[in-house]
Amino acid sequence: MSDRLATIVVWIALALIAVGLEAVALATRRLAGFGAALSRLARPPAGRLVVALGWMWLGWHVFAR
Amino acid sequence: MVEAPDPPADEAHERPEGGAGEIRALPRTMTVRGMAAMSPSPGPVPPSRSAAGVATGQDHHPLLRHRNGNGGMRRNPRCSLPAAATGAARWEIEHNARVRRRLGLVGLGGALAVAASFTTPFTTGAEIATALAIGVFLAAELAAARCGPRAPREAPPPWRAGAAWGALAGTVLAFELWNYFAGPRSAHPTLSYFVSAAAGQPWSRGLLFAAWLALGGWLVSR
Repeated sequence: MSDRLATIVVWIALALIAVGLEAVALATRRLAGFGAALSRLARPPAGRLVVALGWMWLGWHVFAR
Repeated sequence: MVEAPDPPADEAHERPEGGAGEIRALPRTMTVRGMAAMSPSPGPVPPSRSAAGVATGQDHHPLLRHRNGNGGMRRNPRCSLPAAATGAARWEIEHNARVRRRLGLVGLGGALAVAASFTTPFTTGAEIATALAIGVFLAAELAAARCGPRAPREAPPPWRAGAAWGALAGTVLAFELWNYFAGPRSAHPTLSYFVSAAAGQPWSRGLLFAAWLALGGWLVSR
């Protein structure tokens, strides 16, 4: 297996884990969903600053640079 | 028969009993203080704006901590509605303002997404479109901080409920960094590689930009 293929397989596995976590959160309510976890992180001022900076960096990185 | 779905938590404002006409029915000569005095009840107040909301820490933003003469807490006066607006009238005014604000932001975001779809990275146009979006986001954040939470917030989940997401985020970050430093991008593609490929067409770029804006709008609303 080439490095490229192995890397893509790992990325797909991570994406599937994320989908699985969200599904478990929706089905059992024992886990927080992604939105709830992000909201929890953004609740204290420091967390909100981190999330806001992360959002800004994401947009600048993807669309401008 | 299809039942109407429950309103989302974000729209948890309950419309008070009575209509906006209760204010219009008052004599024109009535003073604001007189209207407030004769009002039998201020109507339901969302927890985030009530004294109980303050006591429970829901109305905790430093900009909102203006003490009144009774030692109680009230909202930032620059965001206050007229004292006469109580109950249903207050709900109506706030609801309409909220709808107008959202429609304006959606229109602005759509225009920005369309403009961004015609740009390419590393150009001045792309930088201007992205910077404008970030500027709108910062302005909305400042406005939200000044006026306080608009909707009662749900009880936050415990930290341990989000631990799985934290572990996943750490794994993704570590794998991203490993790929970044490991070697050629073609052999070790990063998330940016996939996103750049996905944003290769104008329409897909516009959609991604709109999704990014929607995420920012959601963050502001929290």
